[in-house]
Amino acid sequence: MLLLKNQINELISKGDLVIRPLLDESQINEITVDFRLGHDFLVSVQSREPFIDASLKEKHQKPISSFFQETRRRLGETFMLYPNQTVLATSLEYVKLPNNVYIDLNMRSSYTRLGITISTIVQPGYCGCVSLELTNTNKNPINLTVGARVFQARFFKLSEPSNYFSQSRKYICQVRPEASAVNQDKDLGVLNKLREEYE
Amino acid sequence: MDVKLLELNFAQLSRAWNKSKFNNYSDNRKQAYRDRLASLFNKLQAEDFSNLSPTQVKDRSYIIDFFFTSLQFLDSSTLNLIPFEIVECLGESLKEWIDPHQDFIIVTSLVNEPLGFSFNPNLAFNNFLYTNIKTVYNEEFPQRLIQITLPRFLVRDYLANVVLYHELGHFIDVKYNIASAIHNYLCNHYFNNALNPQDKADVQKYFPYIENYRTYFLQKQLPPTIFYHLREYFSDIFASQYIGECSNYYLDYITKKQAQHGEEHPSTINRVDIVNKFLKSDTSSYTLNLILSATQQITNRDLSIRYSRITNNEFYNLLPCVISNEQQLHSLFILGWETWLDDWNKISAINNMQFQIDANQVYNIINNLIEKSINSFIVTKSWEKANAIAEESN
Amino acid sequence: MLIKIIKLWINNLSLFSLDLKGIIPPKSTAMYYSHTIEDNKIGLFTSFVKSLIEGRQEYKPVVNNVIEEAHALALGNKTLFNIDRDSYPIVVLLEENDPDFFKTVDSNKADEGVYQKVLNILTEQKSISYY
Repeated sequence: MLLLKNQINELISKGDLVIRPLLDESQINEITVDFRLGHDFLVSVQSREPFIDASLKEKHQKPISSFFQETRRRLGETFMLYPNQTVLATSLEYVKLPNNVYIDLNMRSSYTRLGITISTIVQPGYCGCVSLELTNTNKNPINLTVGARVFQARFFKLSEPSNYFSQSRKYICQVRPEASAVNQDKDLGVLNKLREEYE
Repeated sequence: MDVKLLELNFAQLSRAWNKSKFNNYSDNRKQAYRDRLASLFNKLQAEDFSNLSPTQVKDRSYIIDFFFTSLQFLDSSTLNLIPFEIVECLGESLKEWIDPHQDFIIVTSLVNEPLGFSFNPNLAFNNFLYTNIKTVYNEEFPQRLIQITLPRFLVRDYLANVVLYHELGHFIDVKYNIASAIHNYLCNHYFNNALNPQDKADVQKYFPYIENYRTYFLQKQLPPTIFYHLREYFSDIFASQYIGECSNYYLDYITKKQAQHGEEHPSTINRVDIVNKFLKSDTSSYTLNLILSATQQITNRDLSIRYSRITNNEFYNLLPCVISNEQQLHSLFILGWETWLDDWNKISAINNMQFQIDANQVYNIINNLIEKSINSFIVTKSWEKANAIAEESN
Repeated sequence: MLIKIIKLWINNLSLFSLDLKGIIPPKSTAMYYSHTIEDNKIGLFTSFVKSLIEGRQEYKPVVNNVIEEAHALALGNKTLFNIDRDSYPIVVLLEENDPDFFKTVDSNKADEGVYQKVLNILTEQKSISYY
């Protein structure tokens, strides 16, 4: 069930939904909440390594974080997003979702029209700044302002609660973008054993 | 000093400057400082050093040293490198101890040593440096750099970084020459038998070697242990104004609860003891009272509890805290330490975690939440300020 | 509590090795190290006095101010707690070395003899760590 403005406000006032800092109440719209672009960015850079290894095949693989460079901006400063470059960012706001509400994220249409797309789901019970994987599909670089409302979330209520911490989490209370931890997936370990059997 | 060595020094500076002159800073004041350095560099470059007297050569070498130190810190103080959140907290403390008209910029240099925390006061409080630059080249630096060094890998460790409040204490001490004045006063009174037996016993407790120190003090022999120890006591008390007993936790561990004093540091037991007395407002110690009253006389400011507790520790709910004022900002570190030292099962239980939370996860949670709490406070303040300006201009 | 702090330290060490890719081993050093400023101040001031003796009058105000403070301290008009904080180490060094001289000196009438006397005190071999 999609939550409406008054339902979102009610969750906030009861403390079940937390958004910090909520700089302007007008960020809460009729069926969405606007989120702002955070300070920190992980920018993909070319490395001496020939490829990013998202498998466990190579024993001495370089961490995925080494393919990204950290950079920061202050509120109101700008960040240049280049065409086809992968940039990890976060929302300025820290959120904590109720255990029966998930959010569906999209760029605000003004930014989608520029050629920036994201599409992410944030699970019920999540706590942390919302992670954004930005890609510019436009042919031109786009200058973004830190603190600008760049994306929006729709809140959906589940019929039953779920437990975010039913299993150990890779990212808890994340406040800056973090590189993919795909190599920690348990499945990958199992699949890697299988591959070793073939060799 | 030989002119050739000055030339060598300047050639080294030119190489360093070539790399640094293109740095960009988010802080306009750093940018302005960099521009001033550029102007100073041009004047140094235009000068024929071979015509200088030996005294003038020495003057220039001080100026080049100043330039190098400025670069060392400015280079690592771009927004990408500077530990922005902790520097903001230190800046708030600093405001309480510096006259408002003085314009200081906190800059940082990151080192690879695990315990490499330090403050370097040279660029901030050595007015002779600026007199010299103004006299020789007619260049004025409106801002002063306050230089902090900290371990590169602990930049985002808000538990370890409580140490920086102690380092800020050293900085304030150097600005006002507090420990130095107390040292002179204390030794003169003690060695002239001007103290009553109870006060004398208190001094002996914090400086157990004082009876053997008489000759050292009178003949100015090295090391001036009591002076060094007073600096530490002062800085410990200074830090505890903002972070309570947090610095004791780390100090206790790092120094292995050291019962003996060293040349530059009192025993940990005494350091912890004096801080505890201060925090409990225990007025029984002559030494502590002397530090408090001397500080008041010299700085016209009181050493006092300057943090206010956040009553609701939301870290257990995995939430950053909402900070209402600067006093609460400092107490975030206390909250972080309390959470670290508490039973971590509380975090698991409150959040219905079906797994055992480990040290690494708690470490990340606490650091992330402290950072976000500070950051949200700064962002909210900036936002309100920007809105007020926007409304005014409309 | 100790165990918790050890855990914290282990965390720190793991961060350290991560950051340096295990190339540089951790090195121990003194905690709470603070740089000294006094030697720099005294060195620079000595240079000012020499320049003044060499005839560069632009250094006169700054040198005379220090002499004036040492005079006030020697007479007891000022104390250790309220003399000028920036020139503190030099003022105390001068006054302690010849209190009688600084009781009578008049900075407004200071001549080369006074400056030479100040220079002699500053350039004597002595520990400046006490200031």
